[in-house]
Amino acid sequence: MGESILLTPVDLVKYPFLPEAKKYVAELGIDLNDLGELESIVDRAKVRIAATFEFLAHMQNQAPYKKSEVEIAAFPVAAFVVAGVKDKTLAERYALSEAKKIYNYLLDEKDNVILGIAKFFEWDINPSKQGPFSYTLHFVYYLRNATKGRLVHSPEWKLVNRQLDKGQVSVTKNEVCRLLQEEIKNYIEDRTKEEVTKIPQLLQDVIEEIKAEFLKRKPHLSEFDQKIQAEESEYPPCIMDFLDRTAKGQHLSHAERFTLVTYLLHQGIGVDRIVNLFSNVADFREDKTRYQVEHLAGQRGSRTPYRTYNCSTLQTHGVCVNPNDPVCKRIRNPLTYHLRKKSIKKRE
Amino acid sequence: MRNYAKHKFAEYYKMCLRGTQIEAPSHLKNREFGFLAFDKTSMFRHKGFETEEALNRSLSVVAPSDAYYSSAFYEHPEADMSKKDWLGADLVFDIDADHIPTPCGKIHDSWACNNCNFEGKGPPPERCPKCGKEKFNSKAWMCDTCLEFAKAETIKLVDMLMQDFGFSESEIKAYFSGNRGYHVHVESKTVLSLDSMARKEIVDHIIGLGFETEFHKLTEGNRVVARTEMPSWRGRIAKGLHLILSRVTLEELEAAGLKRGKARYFDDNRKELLSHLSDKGWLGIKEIGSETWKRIIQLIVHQQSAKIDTVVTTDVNRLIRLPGSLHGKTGFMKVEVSLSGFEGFDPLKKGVVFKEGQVVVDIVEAPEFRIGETQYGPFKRALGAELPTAAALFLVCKGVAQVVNGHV
Ligand code: SF4
Ligand SMILES: [Zn+2]
Ligand SMILES: [Zn+2]
Repeated sequence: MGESILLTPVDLVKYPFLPEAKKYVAELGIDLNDLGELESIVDRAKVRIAATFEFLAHMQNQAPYKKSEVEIAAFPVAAFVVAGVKDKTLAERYALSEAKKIYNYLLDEKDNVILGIAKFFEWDINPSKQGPFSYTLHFVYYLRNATKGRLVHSPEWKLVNRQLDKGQVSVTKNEVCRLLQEEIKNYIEDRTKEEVTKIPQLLQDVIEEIKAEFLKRKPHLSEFDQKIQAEESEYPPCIMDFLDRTAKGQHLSHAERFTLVTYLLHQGIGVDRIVNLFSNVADFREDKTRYQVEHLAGQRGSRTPYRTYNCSTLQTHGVCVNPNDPVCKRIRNPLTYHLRKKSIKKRE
Repeated sequence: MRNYAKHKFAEYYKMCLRGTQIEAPSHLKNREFGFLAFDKTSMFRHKGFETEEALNRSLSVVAPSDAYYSSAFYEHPEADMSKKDWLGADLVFDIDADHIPTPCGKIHDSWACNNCNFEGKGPPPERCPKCGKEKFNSKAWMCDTCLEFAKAETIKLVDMLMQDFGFSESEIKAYFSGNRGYHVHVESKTVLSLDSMARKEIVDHIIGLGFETEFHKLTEGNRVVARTEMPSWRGRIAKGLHLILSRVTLEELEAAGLKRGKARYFDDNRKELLSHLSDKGWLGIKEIGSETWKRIIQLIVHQQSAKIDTVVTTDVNRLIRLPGSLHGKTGFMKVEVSLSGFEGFDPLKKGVVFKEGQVVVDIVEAPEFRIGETQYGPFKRALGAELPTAAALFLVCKGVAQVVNGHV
């Protein structure tokens, strides 16, 4: 990672993921036998994690702890505990909540801190005064983050709608902070997915506690985790169109086939049935088709099923057939079409 | 019937092995190669080479109808897909006449119904007008017109890569694909790690997808503030507006969604609009409201965008044709075009490999085509036609001719 910036302990409380924070804690030489000190660190770590899934018992005290070394040390402990729980959703939510907090701190910072943190991530960024824009950022670092999280769905973040000159994108200070939020989220998420070994007993107990509380709440966290499958009559227009054409033996483009197959797999349709669907197509070869479908299902090689592309991607490839469908207007991915349709019906 | 083609391809690759070898792609050891055999049933994938010599040797032994390498670098290029360990990928673009509507398709492309053999020109219809079936055998050819269309798109693309994205001339390589279009490879350390989502944003920028007028500050109050020398899309819109005022047809305006009256007005007042535009600004024209301007701008975006194949660029595990190799559908070579020499580049000359000899062929049918300086055809059941090697090979690769025995 990039060069370091001069930060005070007060700054490090805000940005505890920086290497300076680690150094600071190490230099303090916190006495692990001083149970009082250790307990407050672990407590603060719990508060940090609890905030991510509204685990109320631990939410009373959200303000940073008065002793900065305790607060700073709580961050790596929290990351360690999350890593110990080994739950992807928790890791993601935890990283997001830390990153959002940091975003709010960044908004009030001066150039040097913002640039310093951007340089830690090796961004090619420079201050510039051009109308409302305070910085220019190389498009690679811009895209790396503007295609993540919610940003990917808003037109003002699309590269085609930005000023792009010789590789540099003009961005406002707020936008830089928002992009840093994504970068930081990613960074913390990676840390919380690391393999943890040699877990001290005290932390093992915390891991068990957090895990139990989290699993209790997990089912209610978001629509996305729902596993309700669609009836055929509830398939989105694009999928209906592909099914129709396949049945007639017409040729589908690569992107169309990918979309159809991944969609059906997510709806729980078996590999055999999907392979059969293609049997009318002119150049059908059972073995080849099966190989491809199994690959997408994750039965060969990678083992994770491929996700269906987002509607915006399908629009890029000219695969989307009806963005004007009232349900289509309100979804980001064909997979949620039937869920959205149901919820609209309910309200009517 | 393709034996002759295989024989000529082998001859070419042997010649390379002995003489000027086909240049290996950068980072050779990390690339995957795939060779398509002439019998078409098998693609040898997951091949890797340590040296340029080994690559050339293998080409001369296999004599593939098509040779590809991965735009990606892998830790283990010869392993199965899931175990390759992706390290990064070049940014690649494909521009193919297939993706560009051209006027000549109607002339040289044809289809035949698989069921009743009914034939037609242009791209195949949804269903056969005679028997109603939907399976066709279609043939696409190339001519100067579609190759020029593809070239124009490629020039726009290269311009965007340099002006908008800031790639230097040394990072961009352009090639005639050997068939109906061009390939552009960007090799730059900065883009290697971009994932498919990020590449999609690059694609959208280039094809103008998702462009929304309000984010571009094209006007300020009543004045147009976009000027041709401005970077990126603002500059292109300004350029495009001047172009449209001097060239666009009434039909194009209506096709872009302008009401007939507005389109008429626009069409009738070009000169005045142009001068008005340079001294007063566009919103000051009361006959043309902001909705109409939006439509016009979308039309400009469409004209100024480069029509690339969206799938190729977003796929980070793509196999792309190896420069210097021959195209199985034409016998032409994938050959580099220098960025400065684009305008005068003639693919039907520079892509020719076999420049000597005559071959006697029986030709089923072929539209008119050109190779080098010579125009050939159209042919219909031409038996015993004597053609230069490149022309004969082209027809054999197209699957419409057979070499007469004893003339191989
Ligand atoms: S908006 Fe999405 S779901 Fe609807 S047709 Fe287009 S791609 Fe399919
Ligand atoms: Zn027919
Ligand atoms: Zn043509």
